[in-house]
Amino acid sequence: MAMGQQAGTAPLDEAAARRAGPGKALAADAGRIVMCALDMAERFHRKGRLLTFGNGAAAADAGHLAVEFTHPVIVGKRALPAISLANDAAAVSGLAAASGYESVFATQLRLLGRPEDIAVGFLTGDGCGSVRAALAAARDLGMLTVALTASGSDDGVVNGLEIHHVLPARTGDPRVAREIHVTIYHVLWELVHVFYEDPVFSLAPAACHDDGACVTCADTAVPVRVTEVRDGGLAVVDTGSGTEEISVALVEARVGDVVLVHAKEAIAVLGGDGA
Amino acid sequence: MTGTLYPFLGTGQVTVEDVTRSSVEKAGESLALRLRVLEGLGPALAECADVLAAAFRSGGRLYTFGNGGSSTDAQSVAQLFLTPGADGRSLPAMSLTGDAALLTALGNDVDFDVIFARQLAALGRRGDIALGLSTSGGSANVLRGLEEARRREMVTVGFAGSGGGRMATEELADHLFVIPSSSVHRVQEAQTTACHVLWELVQRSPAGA
Repeated sequence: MAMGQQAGTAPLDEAAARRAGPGKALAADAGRIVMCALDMAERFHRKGRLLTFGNGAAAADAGHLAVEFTHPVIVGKRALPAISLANDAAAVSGLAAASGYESVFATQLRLLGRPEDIAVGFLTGDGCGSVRAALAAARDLGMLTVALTASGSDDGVVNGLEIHHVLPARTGDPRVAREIHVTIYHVLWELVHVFYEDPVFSLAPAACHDDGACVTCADTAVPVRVTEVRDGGLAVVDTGSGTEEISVALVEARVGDVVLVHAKEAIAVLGGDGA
Repeated sequence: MTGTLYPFLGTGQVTVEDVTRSSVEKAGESLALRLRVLEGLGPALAECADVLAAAFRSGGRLYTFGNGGSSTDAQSVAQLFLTPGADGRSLPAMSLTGDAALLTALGNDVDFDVIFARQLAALGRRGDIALGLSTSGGSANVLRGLEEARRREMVTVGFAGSGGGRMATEELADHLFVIPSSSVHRVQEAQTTACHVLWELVQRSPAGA
């Protein structure tokens, strides 16, 4: 056994060394996870749901990610709606047999998904066609799209898809990439709750059901000019393509100010002639 | 506008900078724990790998199990042994967490505590391998699974966190790997690395040749 252990030392050192670089790269990528969590929290506030998918070990990760949200391990954290599309052998094999494996997640997304939902796919290299097809479908449907990638899968594969958030594991080793993905989705879950519970979001009104013409409830922050301040922390703003009512409860906004509005809530005064 | 997109996010409660800083720290903790686990548990992982490689060589099968996130981690482990792609030899492995009919039947008709033990009683043979994952080391169904496996003279492998719980105090696994962290997330992350390295070592073990 002593010999076995001696022989085992080099592989262990090598295994550790192989993990150091990607682990450090993840810390450098933390900002990407933060911005993704911010957008996800906004979607959950609009009653969006999380839909996850992946193949092979990533199918298991899709299930793990979903259960993090539906049944939080930290007591007191709110359950948020999430479903893995990779769990149901009858559904996956049925769709694969009927229309080919590439369609298994895209078809489920089209049938089960709604525009306010969040689609998270694992692009890990194994049969990624089904994941790419699903992300493209999600994008077409207006969902927030997120891809967890590994080196080799994020060039070219992701580029054509216009994915909102790409969260990379900077390694081509599929096992190490998976390890980084587990950390990414744990941190992501935690940050979604940080943002979800933040006053900016809890004060945000329910989803606007206009026909897509609403500028101020978009999921990206946009600058608008205040034209009228109303009671109850509300204001009328000029969006450049009309006027809309938003909340200015969190900022000191006056008529003439340009405010940054995110999900119907002004989150900063950028300046203007109101002061 | 170009500096940060959301300059006053949370109006004093949360800033993007704070959140980013804490995320950088968590990524650092995750890596540090992984490396500490490889250093501390590495020799035991290598020893376990030799035993598993010998078990596979003798026709043994690997059964993996856990709850919640650990149920999917169990699936990943089985999938890795079964279909490693070009990186390794396919070995017989299955997760005991994938069959909804069986799990709901046992959970509903008997008791949730027996969902793994009953499967091992039916499938397990002397020389097979049972690998249970529990971040607390106290999940009753995982512990009963390990007990049943030992009764059947299977090789038992346990992964736990938080001091190891009952899995450690009652010595329910021949090969026990306790991740030194009380964070469920960090434990799962380091367990993932430990399982992957265990697989790498099984693939290289001379005992499997």
